[in-house]
Amino acid sequence: MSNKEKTQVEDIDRSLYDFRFEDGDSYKVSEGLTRDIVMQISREKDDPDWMREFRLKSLELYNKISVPKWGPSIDGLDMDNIVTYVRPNTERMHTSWEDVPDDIKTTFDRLGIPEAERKSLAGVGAQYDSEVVYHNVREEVAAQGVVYTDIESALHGEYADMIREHFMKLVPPTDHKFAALHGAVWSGGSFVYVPKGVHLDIPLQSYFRLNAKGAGQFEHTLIIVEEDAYLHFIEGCSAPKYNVANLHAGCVELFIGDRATLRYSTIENWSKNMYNLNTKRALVGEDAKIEWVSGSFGSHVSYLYPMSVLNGRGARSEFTGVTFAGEGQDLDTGTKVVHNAPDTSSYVNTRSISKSGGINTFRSAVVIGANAHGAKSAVSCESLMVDDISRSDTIPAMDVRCADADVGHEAKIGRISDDTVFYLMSRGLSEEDAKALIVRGFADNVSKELPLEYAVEMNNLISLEMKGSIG
Amino acid sequence: MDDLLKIEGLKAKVEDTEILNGIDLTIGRGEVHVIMGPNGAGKSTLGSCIIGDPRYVKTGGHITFKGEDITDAPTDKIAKMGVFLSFQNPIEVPGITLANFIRTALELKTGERIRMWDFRKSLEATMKLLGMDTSYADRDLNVGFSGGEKKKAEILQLLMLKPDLAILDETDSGLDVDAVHIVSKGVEEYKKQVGGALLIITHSTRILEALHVDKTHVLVDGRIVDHGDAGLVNEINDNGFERFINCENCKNDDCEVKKKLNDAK
Amino acid sequence: MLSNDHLPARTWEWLKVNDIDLKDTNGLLASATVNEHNIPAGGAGETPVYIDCKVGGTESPASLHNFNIEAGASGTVIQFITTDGGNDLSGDFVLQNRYHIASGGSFTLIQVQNLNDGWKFYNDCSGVCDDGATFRRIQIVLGGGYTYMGEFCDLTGEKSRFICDIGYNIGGTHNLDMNYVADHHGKNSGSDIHVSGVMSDHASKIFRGTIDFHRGCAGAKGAEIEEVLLLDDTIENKTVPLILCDEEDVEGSHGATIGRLDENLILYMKSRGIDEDEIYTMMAHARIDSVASLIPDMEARDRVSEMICGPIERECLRK
Repeated sequence: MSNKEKTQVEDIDRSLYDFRFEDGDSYKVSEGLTRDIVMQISREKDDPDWMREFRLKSLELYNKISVPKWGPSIDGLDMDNIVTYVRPNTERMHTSWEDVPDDIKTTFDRLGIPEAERKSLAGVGAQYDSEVVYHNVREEVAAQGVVYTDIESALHGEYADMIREHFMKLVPPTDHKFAALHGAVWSGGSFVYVPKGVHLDIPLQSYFRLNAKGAGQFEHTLIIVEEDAYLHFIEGCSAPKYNVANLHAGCVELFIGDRATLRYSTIENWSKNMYNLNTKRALVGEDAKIEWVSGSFGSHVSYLYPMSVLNGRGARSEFTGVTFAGEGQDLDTGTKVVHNAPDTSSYVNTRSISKSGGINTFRSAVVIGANAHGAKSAVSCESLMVDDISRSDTIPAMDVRCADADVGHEAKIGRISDDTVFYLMSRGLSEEDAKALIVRGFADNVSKELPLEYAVEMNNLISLEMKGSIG
Repeated sequence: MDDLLKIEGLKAKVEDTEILNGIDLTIGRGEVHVIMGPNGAGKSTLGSCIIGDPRYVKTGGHITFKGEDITDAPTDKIAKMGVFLSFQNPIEVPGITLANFIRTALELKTGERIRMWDFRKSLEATMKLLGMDTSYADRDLNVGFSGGEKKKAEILQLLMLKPDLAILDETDSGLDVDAVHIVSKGVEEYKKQVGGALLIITHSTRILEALHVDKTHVLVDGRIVDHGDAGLVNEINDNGFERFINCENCKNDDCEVKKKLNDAK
Repeated sequence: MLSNDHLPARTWEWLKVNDIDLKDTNGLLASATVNEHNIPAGGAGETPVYIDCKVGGTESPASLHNFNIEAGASGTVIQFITTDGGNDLSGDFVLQNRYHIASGGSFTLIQVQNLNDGWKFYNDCSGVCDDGATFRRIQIVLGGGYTYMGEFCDLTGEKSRFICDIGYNIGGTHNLDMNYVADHHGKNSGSDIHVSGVMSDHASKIFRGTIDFHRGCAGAKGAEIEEVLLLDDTIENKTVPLILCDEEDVEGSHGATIGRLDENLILYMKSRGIDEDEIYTMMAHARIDSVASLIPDMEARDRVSEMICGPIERECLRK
């Protein structure tokens, strides 16, 4: 491509996400991670005893477990400089938007959150730094017995036992260093409970905003979808950009009952100083289904591999993902699937786009246990290199222990075809438009799975990323 | 019992779609039957059900072959008993040569070892009859064969395996005039050498020209709606399936729609 | 020292695919004699050279071969690695092949391994391909206890090529540990790795295959594919096919199909009266046979055919 014209691609216009308020008024713990800080967070949250013990045990584990030897460098992340708990300047969580403090309200207004709620959502939660500032579900949804609240409230209410029974059982703090960190300093997040047979036609949404400088966000999302129920949960994440590292080490645990379906959609657009070390996992029952839809656009470094544990006969997992790595980004994303029962099936379809020196790694693991007779798995990943200074790696692994399984894998890597660009240009499109169109088409595996508003937002993000002058 | 194949009240579905809604069909030894019908009527499904394709679930009725109930028998057993189905789209089998494949199938059918020399001689003679280049014998089965060569390889297997019943599923479709001629010649040869029965699923008459057709069946919506002799083939070729699809003219008095129409009168 | 002992890009530790323990080979290699082979241009290399490794007898536990293929020359080397003497013998054996293929040269290395299950066999290979050079490797694995097989092919030259076909049929408790790297540096370089395997009983296997496109290898193409037929639920099969890409103008692909045979194929063969056990036996046989058929030397091919008939129970039908 050396003798051909090149598209100079600029960094994304993040002005929409980059506005921020000074966090001078809010309460926060000191930087770093010590037993005192963990105790302080625990007191602040009025933890039950078991939770305080859990935090302290997790802290011990955190100090014992070493950082992973694989994956992108996290040398730029110094825990001694990360503030693990920042309480926004507001009392408790609100159920009325009017009561949310003005600066926070303005932030979410600009991100279009309450507007989205009015339009198309069954319920909305919003977290600002370490605390959930707003949760609301529509009356008719609540009437069906659906619970959507923050974990702290649930921990002190009638669902306390249910939380204790499930909390970090799927992602134990022993899992890896940042799961241990999460166990020690987690704060905020959502608890969703959908009772047997309840089918929510419209999605619930949670929005995470990390406003404070040099802070970490450690929200915990616990979703229990009972037998024969259906839920679509959407999460969005963003943060303004600072020149110091921010850390996101959230944890998502999804329990899906027999014959139930959960669709979990994420559009992640953290700022490019964020270390996104998030852990997501689903336990899937008989004939139940998890559908992951994942768009990763932001963060400086990401380690993100939503995992499906197919535990019941006929359990299914679908993972559809797109990752866009631009300048200064090292995004290591993918998925893990464990087939632990007969007739389980998994389907993985991912796309990744690398440009302006961005690094993409697709990493996956498909494990077929010896008892998973008749299991089927199909993984397909495609990578697109937009220029010659970027990087794209594909690191899949399959571990098959059962003869009666059908496991397929295919991966392709390549660049935008000059012929296609030429063809589109011959129909009057500029080179830039042609390339943006091709990239949007390349990513349509995800955009066509998203609700319309989100698909539009995603396409805008891609167009912004692809915008530039032809040099 | 003189009946070679007897199908009674056969119902079958694939996934959740009912395709056969009660088929009755009896074929005697050495008889030639033709099944015609519009697309999607269930013609190919009938062939698949006889050979025991596990993807079709039989929800009712029985299939008897040589007096033995084969409704739920495994495919390889049905084949060994003497049923042969020629596939519309023969599968490519990398690593197994055409000669090796036929020889293995023959040895398993007869339970005896076949002398290489004898086998080779008869295989090559049959290939020549079908105008097949004998080099195909040592090529992997169907791998890289043209559409015509694949169909010839099916007829070659038919002539070598000598079944008592051959089901030819659209064996003549998509072939040029010369290839149809060779396939017809192969089928004629099968009649002559083996004297077996034939169930021919087809759209056209070209393959039937040199054969004496004993019976023609018209299959619509998973039911046999009419029977006839060879003349019915020509009638359908001239007039199409219109009158069978049009309920007024339908001769199937068991059909619910027809019953309602009659009741209304 | 065998250095090709890790996955070029590490992944999750719990998968246990990151490292290969080759430390035991250090002692064995220290005492080995090095055999130098020069293949000059001008026709002499057309006749295949046989290097028989009969392990367990008088053979040293390590065998090293350096091949120098001169510009424009072509050579073929056939190595049979078999056990010398009784089936109760056991031990370690290292075979290391190194090659340098100068411009326009071509080198074919054929290896057929049929050891009994007492043997730990380390089969290492690495080398450099200059402009227009081609390295062709054909490997058939039929027996052994533990087998490491590695390859590090440095495709430094423009239009250099690495073509590799591997067929394995492993059973018992045979543990096969593979690590193949096609290291693309040269413009328009190409690699093609095709692995075809059958696993039964308590066999375990890791196939690591890496296509590494370094910056500057514009126009390079790499493809790898593994097809594994699994016959028992007691096997352990791991497949880790990597593509690392630091260059825009490349085409890379990998594919894997693991498990049982395609149901259409089974139905077709059954409809000709062949039962399922027989179909699997035939197809298992066919997998190895298709790799053996690539061997350009009749004599070697015949020897392989004899060997294949051993591990696969049914009589050899092909010949």
